[in-house]
Amino acid sequence: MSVAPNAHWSQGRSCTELDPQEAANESRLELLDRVIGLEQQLNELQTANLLSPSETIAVEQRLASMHASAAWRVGRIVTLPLRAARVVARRLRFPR
Amino acid sequence: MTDQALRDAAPITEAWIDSAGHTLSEIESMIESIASTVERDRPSTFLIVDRRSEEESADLLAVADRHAVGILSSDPEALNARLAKTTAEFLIVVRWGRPVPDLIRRLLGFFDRFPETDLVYGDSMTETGRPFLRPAFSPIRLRSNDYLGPVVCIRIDVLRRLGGLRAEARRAQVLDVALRAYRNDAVIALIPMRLATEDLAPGDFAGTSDAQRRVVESWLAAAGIDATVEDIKPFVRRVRYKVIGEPLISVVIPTRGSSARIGNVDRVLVVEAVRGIVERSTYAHLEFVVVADADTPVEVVDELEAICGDHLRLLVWDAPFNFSAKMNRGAAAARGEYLLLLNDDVEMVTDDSIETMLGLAQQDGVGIVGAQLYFEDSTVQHAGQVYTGGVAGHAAFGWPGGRDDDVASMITDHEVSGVTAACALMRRDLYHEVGGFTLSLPGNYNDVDLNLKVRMTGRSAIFTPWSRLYHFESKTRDPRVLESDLTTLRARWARRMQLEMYSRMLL
Repeated sequence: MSVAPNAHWSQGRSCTELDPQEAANESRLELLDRVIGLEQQLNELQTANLLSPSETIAVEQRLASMHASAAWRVGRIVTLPLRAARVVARRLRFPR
Repeated sequence: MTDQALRDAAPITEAWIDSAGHTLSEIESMIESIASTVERDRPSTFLIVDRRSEEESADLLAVADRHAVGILSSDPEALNARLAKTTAEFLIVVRWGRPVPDLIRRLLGFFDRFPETDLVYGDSMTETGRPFLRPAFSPIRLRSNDYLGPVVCIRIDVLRRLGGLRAEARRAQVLDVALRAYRNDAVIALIPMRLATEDLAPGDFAGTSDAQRRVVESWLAAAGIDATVEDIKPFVRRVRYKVIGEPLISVVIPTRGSSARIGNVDRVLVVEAVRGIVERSTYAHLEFVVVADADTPVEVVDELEAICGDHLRLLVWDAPFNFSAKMNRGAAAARGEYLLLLNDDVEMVTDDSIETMLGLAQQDGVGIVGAQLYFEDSTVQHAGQVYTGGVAGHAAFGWPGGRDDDVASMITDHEVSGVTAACALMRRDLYHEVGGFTLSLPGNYNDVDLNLKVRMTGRSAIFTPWSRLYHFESKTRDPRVLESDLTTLRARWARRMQLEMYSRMLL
């Protein structure tokens, strides 16, 4: 018994591939995205503030509320001995 | 005292308290809130009085007198005369609610820090302590809903440059000023801090809703925008933008011709998605660009050809799965002025979905428009994307139909951080300008990247609740998100994805 091979839908149909102009469009899309992506990665690494005034205030609010939270305060207390030990160790290693 | 000394001594802020529609005790409470400001910051305060009965007027005058507050008639001529006379730099309009005690400091602190700002508004809180978080400035939303809240502050020189207040805008002056300021390139900003406490159930006092609709109609006409305005409920309007011309829209659909059982019926997803548009869409100038995997069943392709006829362009995809690359291939071959990016597992609910999205996409400054998507069980799948803490999600995800937030987000067209590419409309040239979908994100977050690239051009992403579709996503989508996808996305946009500023009530 022979099994008929699966028919490929594009067989016998025209224009199922991009023409040269369209293929160039497709390549240009990829290239442009790479350039924009790299530029954007550079922007991300810059220290310049990217935030709008509203975002700046929102970030500060969020930071302030985090610092005021019980979790933050408890964390500061719990890590106090460790932070103190670090300061002492640093001073012992690099005496003034 | 010299003129200079007089100017130095005069407050740099002036507060106008709108008495329309408020009871005497509410008005007194508003006045007292302003009066509780420390003396050094205290603004010159005026009570704006509409036409009232003699008895009410006498009571109001007594309250004003008791608190040493001036009286202004609500007639625009009187208000403009006051504007011409004042030496203050900033006008604070208190429309309702009780301003916070340090309102003036918050406002002036913001203006000092960001001197480019011309008009500001802020968050508020209910009497019960529920926050009322307003969106970042959203000009499309403003046409449908005056979301600016109880306290708005504007530089008086900006207001003078705009020509003051217009008589035609009576009862909706703040909305009118904000719309005109936007049109004149003024910088309008949200202060994401509480500026007032308010009652969240205001009635349509003094015909404000009608006045707002008239203001929006007049503004649209002045801006040369052909649109009609329909009242949805008090203070909320739907603006229907008339499509300019009849541009060709290329509907780009990637597919592998898969089937699913939906509503107890087996259906070929792409065939039903296309059939729904062809048979029901009231916008007809369409071409379909279907990018089909090589192993798509022949009968699916045959059926697509039967449905679309000459309006179909079929492209073969003979490589490993990459949603982004398939979309780019479709866009590269598309001839339309606009692209409708569409998943194959959707079904149109509103017949005028395409016109609605196109009308919005043709507005100045709009880059990409997305629709409201529902799961099969009619819960909300998409009402715009939200970006926060470096991750992306969907606003109102899983909400039952009919639920809304306090700024009517589910019944107003509005700016969002992004829209899903399961159904999104944008200009083809813009798609090419931003490099389409990134191939670095083959399955997930590619639409987030596209939205952010569009927004980097200065254009906005708009969500419309008036274009509705079912999205049978769970039927076809592999929900796994690769860590590498997140890493790629964050390498480009981590800092842009920390704070959600448009859908703050929908998180």
